Amino acid sequence: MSSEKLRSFVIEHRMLFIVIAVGIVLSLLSRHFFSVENIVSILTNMSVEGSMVIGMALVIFLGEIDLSVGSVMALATTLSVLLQNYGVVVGVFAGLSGGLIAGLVNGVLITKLKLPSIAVTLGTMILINGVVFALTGEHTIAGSNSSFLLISQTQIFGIPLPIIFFVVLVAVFEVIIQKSLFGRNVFAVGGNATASRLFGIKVERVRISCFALSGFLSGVAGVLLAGKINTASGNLGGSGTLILVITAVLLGGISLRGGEGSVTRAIEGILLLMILNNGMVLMRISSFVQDVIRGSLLILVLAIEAVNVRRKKYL
Amino acid sequence: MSDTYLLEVKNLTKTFPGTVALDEIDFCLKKGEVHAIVGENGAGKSTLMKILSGAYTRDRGTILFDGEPVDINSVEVARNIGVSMIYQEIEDVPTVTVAENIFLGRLPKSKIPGFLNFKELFDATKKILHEYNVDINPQSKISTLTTGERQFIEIIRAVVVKNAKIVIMDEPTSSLTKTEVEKLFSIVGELRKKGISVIYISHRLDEVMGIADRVSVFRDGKNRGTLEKHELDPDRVVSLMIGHVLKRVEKKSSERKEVVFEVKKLSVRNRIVDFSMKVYKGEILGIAGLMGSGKDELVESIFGLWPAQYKETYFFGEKIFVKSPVDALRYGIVYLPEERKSKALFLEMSVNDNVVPQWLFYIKKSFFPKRKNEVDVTEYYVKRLSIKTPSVFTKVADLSGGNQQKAILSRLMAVKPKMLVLNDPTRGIDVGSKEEIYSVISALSDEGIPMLILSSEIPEICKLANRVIVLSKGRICAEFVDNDVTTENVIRAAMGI
Amino acid sequence: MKKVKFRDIIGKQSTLAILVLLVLLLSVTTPSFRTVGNMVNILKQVSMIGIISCGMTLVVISGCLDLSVGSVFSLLNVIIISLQQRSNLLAITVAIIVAVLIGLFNGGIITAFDMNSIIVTLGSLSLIGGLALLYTNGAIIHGISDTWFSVIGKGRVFGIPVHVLVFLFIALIYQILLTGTSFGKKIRYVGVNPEAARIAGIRTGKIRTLTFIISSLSVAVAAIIYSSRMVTGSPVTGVGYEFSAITALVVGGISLRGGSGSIFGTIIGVLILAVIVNALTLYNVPFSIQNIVKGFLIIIAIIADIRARREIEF
Repeated sequence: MSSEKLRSFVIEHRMLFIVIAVGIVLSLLSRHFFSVENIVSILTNMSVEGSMVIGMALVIFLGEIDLSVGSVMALATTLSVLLQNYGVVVGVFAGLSGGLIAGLVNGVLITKLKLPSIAVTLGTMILINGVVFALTGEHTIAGSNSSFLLISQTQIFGIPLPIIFFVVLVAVFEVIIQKSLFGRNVFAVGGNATASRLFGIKVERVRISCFALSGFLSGVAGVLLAGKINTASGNLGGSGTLILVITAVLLGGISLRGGEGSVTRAIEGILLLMILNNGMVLMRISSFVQDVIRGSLLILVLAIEAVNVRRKKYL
Repeated sequence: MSDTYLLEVKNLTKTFPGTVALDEIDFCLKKGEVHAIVGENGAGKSTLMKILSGAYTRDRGTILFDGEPVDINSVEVARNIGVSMIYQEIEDVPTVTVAENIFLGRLPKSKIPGFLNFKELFDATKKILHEYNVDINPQSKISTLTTGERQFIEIIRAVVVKNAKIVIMDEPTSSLTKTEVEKLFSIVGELRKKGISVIYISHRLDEVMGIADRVSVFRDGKNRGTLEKHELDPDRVVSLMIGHVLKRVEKKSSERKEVVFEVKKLSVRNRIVDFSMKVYKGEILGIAGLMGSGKDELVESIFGLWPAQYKETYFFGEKIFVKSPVDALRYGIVYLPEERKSKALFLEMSVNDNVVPQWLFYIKKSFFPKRKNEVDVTEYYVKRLSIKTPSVFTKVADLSGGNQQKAILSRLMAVKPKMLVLNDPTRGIDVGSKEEIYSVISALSDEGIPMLILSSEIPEICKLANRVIVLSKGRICAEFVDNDVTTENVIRAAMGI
Repeated sequence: MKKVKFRDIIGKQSTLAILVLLVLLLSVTTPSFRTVGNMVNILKQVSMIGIISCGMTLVVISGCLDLSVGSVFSLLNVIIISLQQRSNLLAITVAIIVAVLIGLFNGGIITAFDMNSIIVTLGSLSLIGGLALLYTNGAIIHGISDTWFSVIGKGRVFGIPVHVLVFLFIALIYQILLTGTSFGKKIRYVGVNPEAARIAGIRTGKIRTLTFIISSLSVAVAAIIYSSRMVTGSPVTGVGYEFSAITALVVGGISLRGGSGSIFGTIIGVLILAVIVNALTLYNVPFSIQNIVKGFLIIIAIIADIRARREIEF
């Protein structure tokens, strides 16, 4: 690799180096950090939030946003928990379909009615959260089919299924976004929707697909979560989850205005956040402090992006 | 005759409410020629191009393509015929690669369904760029290119991918460096070699003379004459642009003793270079700035709306700091921006609400402004400026462009300003309202209020101002005073003659 | 070229009409609705969300959103209850100071960096919510009753609860602020066209920051009332309040894009919401369905608003 290419790789994936650095610091601060169980725990957790991050990244590449990801995840978890009596497969299918349908609703409302995505997904976030509360009857309900937990407990070559599945998911979506026609269209629409339409790209179709995928991936997250804890409640997928997902994408250096980015960078962002989360737990930092840190981090990252945008405007 | 022309426009008319943009105009274009169109703002150049590219539809007249009449009523039809327009506002996707932009919507597919053949994409792009001698890496992101390079990509895309037979370029060199201009000419040369016709709109006569086979001069919606290359003589072009020699209106020369406002060494990155000017009491100073001159960034940087690398401002000799329009307003300097819809009007609010805001804060006395006073003020100005509106409570969006502009002028006048800065004050306004606004401006000047007027319409500037600075590519290239302020002089300076 | 819309004819009164219709409908169909006791109940529910919504109205008219109000409510609630044991006056003063600081923070950051207020206040929501949890370590704390402080939440004047009067008073003040002062008018200009407002000499940053401060102060008043009535402080009391407030605004006809709306509209929206919630409770509809209803209402109202707005930009 020439030095030019090496340099641009380092800059683009700077988050990865920060992850490694933070990892080293944490392993020095706490003996437990670098243990196998801990790493596995981090990665398994990451498969849940990370799936949502992939979906959010897609939508952000488009130049839009999906605030409903947390609620949709909670919906999927609830559906899986409720319907697992009919079998694990049914439970999984229910969760995934719930997510997909929610995503389609978002996509249709936004494209057919030409509404701003931030407003619509704010509404669906509240609405779907309400549905979850209704379905769970405001309690925390536990799944009755213990085989559902196999989803998180099954291991292949000693690696838990969710982690393998997630890695495959990331790889698949990265390839789609970088190499497929659909993926390039997403970037084209996010970069300049008017030009894209002028040149024959079906902008509406791309938009609906992205929101549908985001919903589906939130559904994946929900099913994976159900596979881990097998309980559902209306408290899942709240603002904390949403903040985590958005911050992850921003940390990956992806602009909210759309048109550029990569799935791996977003995943580097969520990896960093999960490691930080884990570190804070290991160091017995209370979850309340974590909320404070999470919120501050989001605001900080937003401010940095805003400064960048302003700088580019006056070039 | 018709078979030697690729495109013929006959007796074409297009009117908008209040103006006749094209007045039974004739125009013809040969195959493989570079045909330049020059003319003042409002002469009809852009309108005709928009009709040819399908953005507007003509009212009357015929268009013949290859001898056959065509009805260009949409962008698709124009594109199918082979007409491609390169706008100033480049419609590309800045975040993806050059190659993906050139083949936007037509990315080469690979054998795997749904996936792209990147090798084919980059190879094809490289080949095309090589043909046109453009040295750009197909894999670079568009956002890393200069404006000039982006324009080249636009042109190449139009020709290669859309199979354009006619390429229209509207002021293509306004943001280009000298080297890029030369590169543009060589690309145009390539197009000519391939038998593609180019319509080249520009106000830079020096450039036009270098590249055009024929030049047509438009004025007031008509084609005043088409000159062959060997007939190209600057004087002839200018006289065709101006028409009859305007009777010299005796300009009352102002005394120019007291400096009201001064700007020194203003620098804006990539836009303005070391700009200095003084505005004297009682005068109207005009800044003539055509596209690419940087006039908008100039005035915005004065008011702190655009960051300046260096700026010194003086008001009546005293150094002042203007970081935002509020600061200027405190000294009584008011600003009329060039895009009223986005930058000046509160469209969903009433006429009264639009006239009032500046007055509101300026008075400063009361936290509770009395409603009656506001309405009185508005009604006074409605009468004085003859603003046509059913009532002061009508939504300002319902007014015509001219009346909207008058409402904003009322707002500026209501604060009894010490200096007015107007940017393109009659843009998009019908002729009748234009005259009314001109007389308001003259009346204000008679009262002794100094004014700075920036405009891209040269006759307007020459009519109003008693001193004119010509701005070109961010620098002052000429200054004319009193009786030297003539359309001819200014046009020559702006055209680089 | 002006299209005459249903809304133009009825004007602001359309939301009032909906409220009246709702009340009439429910009075006819549900006997338990039309009792005096029930009506008083509704009014009692309205004051806190009403005050918060009034504050939010100013923020929304200026073109922003404040999603942090719920967390701020929680934080102020626990601060007040904890300090009440020392001194009522201290509790109130500190609450007000903290509210101003929060408003300054929110508004300052959003305007200084020209950021999206929804996402920023989402961050604040988490940040301030975390601070509230930290303050009490997740616990619920109790205050002291039977001091003059409880008059605010529990007292009555001529039979009308004090907090309802406070709500009406604040609504009145804000409405006067909005329509009668130049500050209020500037808020509207900033919401309609912030760039033009700036050029016209309005300090958009200052105006927006002030609206955020007023929003937080409104939350402070609501928190004072709540603390006085319930005499308990919980770090999660305010969860979801921001969405109730937004729903109330949107139902009341205030456009989320800014530039239009009035306190009157907000009050109608709050009342409609309260009536709907009340009706659902009377019909024994579980609380959870209410969120669904809220979500629906937001979406419908957004659709209606965007449709109405589109006619203006031609």
